[in-house]
Amino acid sequence: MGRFFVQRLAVAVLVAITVSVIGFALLRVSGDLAADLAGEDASPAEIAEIAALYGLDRPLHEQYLSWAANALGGDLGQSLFTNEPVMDLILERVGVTILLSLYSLVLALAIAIPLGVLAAIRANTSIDRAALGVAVFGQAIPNFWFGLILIYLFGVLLRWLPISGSSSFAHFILPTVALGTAVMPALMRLTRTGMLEVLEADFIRTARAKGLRPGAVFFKHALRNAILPVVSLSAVSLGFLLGGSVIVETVFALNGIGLLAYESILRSDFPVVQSILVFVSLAYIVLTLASDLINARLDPRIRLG
Amino acid sequence: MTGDDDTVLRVRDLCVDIPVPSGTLHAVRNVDLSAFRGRTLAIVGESGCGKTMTALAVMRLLPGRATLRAREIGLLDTDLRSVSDKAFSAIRGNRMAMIFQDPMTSLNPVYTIGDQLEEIYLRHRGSGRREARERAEYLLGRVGIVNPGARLGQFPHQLSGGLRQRAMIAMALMCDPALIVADEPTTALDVTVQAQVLHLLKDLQAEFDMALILITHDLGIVARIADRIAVMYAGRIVETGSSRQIFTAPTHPYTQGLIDCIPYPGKTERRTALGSIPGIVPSLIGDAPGCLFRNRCALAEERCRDGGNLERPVEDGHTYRCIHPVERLRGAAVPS
Repeated sequence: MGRFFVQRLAVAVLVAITVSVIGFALLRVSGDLAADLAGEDASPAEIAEIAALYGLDRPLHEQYLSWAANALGGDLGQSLFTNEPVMDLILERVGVTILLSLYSLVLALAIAIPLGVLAAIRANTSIDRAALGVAVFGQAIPNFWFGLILIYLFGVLLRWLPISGSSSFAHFILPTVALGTAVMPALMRLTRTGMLEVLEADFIRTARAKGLRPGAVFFKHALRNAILPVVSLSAVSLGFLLGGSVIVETVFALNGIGLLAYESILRSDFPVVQSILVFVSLAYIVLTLASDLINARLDPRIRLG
Repeated sequence: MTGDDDTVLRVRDLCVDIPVPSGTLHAVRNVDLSAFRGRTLAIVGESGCGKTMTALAVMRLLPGRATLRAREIGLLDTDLRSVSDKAFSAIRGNRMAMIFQDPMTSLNPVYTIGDQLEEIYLRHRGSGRREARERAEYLLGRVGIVNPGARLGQFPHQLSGGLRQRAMIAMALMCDPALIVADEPTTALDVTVQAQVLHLLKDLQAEFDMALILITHDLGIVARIADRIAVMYAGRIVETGSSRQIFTAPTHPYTQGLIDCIPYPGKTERRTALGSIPGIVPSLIGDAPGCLFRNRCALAEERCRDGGNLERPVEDGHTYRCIHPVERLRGAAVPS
C-alpha cells in the first residue's frame, strides 16, 4: 500500500507540473495579453509599457519560473481589476463552487447507482429502456439550456425556488439539478455496464448457490465489484463539476469561482484566470489520486497486490 | 441395494429446454437419477452433454432463458418443483450445496474467505457471527488448510487454486447439507492436487454422511470414488449402473468408447494410439428421434434413425439405451 501510494503521488506531481506549464503557455499563446490590457486605442509604446509593467516582455520560461515560485509560496499575484490578491479572491469564492459540485455529485450518484443497478437487473426490459431514455436526455441537453428551463419553470412560473444568488440552500437546488443531470448519465451507464458484466461472473452464481437473498447477491456481491470504475468516474466528475460549473454559475449568478473565471476572462484579468485554471487542474489531480486510493481500499487485489 | 429411506434426491423425467434463434435446444432430455445418503453418483459425459445443466436444474440455477420440466424433483421429503423461488433460496446452500469447476473465479475477489464462509451460515442458521466464525475455522481445518484462523482473513487471490477449491468445499459444508453437487471440482486444478481433492470429498462424504453427485468428463477419476455412474450423451443418460457394472461390463457403445479413452499407466502399451471416439456431438436443437449417438457408432444401422431409445435392463440396477441386444454389443468391436 505504501509503495502504491508513493508511485501514484509521484505521477500526480509530474502531472501537476505539466499541467501548470500547459496552462501557463495556453494563456500566453491565446493572444497578446499586453495589447488586450492596454485597450484598442493604445499605441505601441503604451503596449510596451504595460508589457514591461507586468513582466510580459520577459522570456516565457522566466515568466513561468517566477510565477511558479511565487505560486508555491502561496502568492498567486494580484487581480488586475480589483488589485486584491488572487488567492483571497479564490478562497472567498471557492466554497460556493465546492458546495455546488458536491451537491451535484451526490444528486447524480443518488440517481445513477440505483437506476444503473435496476437497469442491469432488468436488462432489455421497458425499465432498462426508460433508464436509457433518462440518460440520453441528461447527456444530450446542454446544462445552461436546462438551467434556463428550470429557472423559467420553478422560478418564474411556479415561483417555488430562488433563481439567483447563493445565500441559502434553496439557492443551490436548481443549479444542483442542472449540473447533476449533466454528470448523472455517464455514472448511470457505467454502473449498468459494470453490473451486467459482474452479474455474469462465476462468483455471482456461487452467491446464488449459497441461497443468499437477491438483495445480498445484487448489492453485497455484485455492486461492490461493479462500483470500482464508478468511484473513479465520480472523482473525475467532481473535477469536471469544479471546473465545469462556469456556465451554470453564470446562469444562476452563483458567486463561485466559475463566475469569477467568467468575469475575469471578460476583463482580461489574466492572473486570476491563470490561477483558477491551475487550481481546477490541481483539484482534478488530487481527486484522481483520491479515487486511486479509494479503489485500493475497495479492491484487495490492488491493495495487497 | 440401497433402501428408499436413504434417498436424498430423486429426479424423474427432467427436461431442460433453451430457446435459441434457430429453434429449441434440448439440453437435457428425460433424465432420471437418484442420489443416496453416503453414496456417490457420478454423472459422466463430454462437454455439452447436459450434465452441468442437469445439476443447475436441480439447484434451480439455470440461466434465465432455460425452461425446466420434470415429473419429480424431490429432495428428502420436499417436492422442489412446488417450492417458491424465495423458499428455494432457503434450501439452496443449506440442505443442498454446490461446488463449482473454477475456484479461481467462483469466489468473490473483494471479500475475505472468512466472510464468504460465514455468510452462508448466517443466512441459513441465523446464528451469531462468532459461532459462524468458529464453524468456518473448524471446516477450513477439516478440509486440510493449515492455519485456518489466518486464512479466514485472507482474500481469494492470496490462496492457490487447490486451497481455494478446499475453501469452496468448506463453504459447501457450512450448513451440513444432505446433498453436495460437485461440478467438475478438479478439472481446473493441477493433476497432483486433483487426487487430493477427490479423496478429501470422499472422506468428507463419509464423515458428514452426505449424498454426493460428482459431475465430470473424466471417467478415469470416478472409478475409485463413485458408487453409481450415469453416462450422459447429448442430453440423455445412455447407460447407468454401479461403478463395477459400468467398468466390468460396459454395454452402450458410447460407454465402451469412453472407457477405451482412459489411459492406464503401465497397462496401455507404449506407442499404441489412445482410444478416441470419432465424430462430434450432434446438434441438440430441434426434435431428434432415434439414437443420437448413431453418427459416431460402429454398429449404427437404419433402424437406429427412429425410435429405439427405450431404456433396457442389462441386469439388476444396470440399464442402457440402445436398440441392440446386450450380446450383440458385447461382441462388437468398439469404434476406433
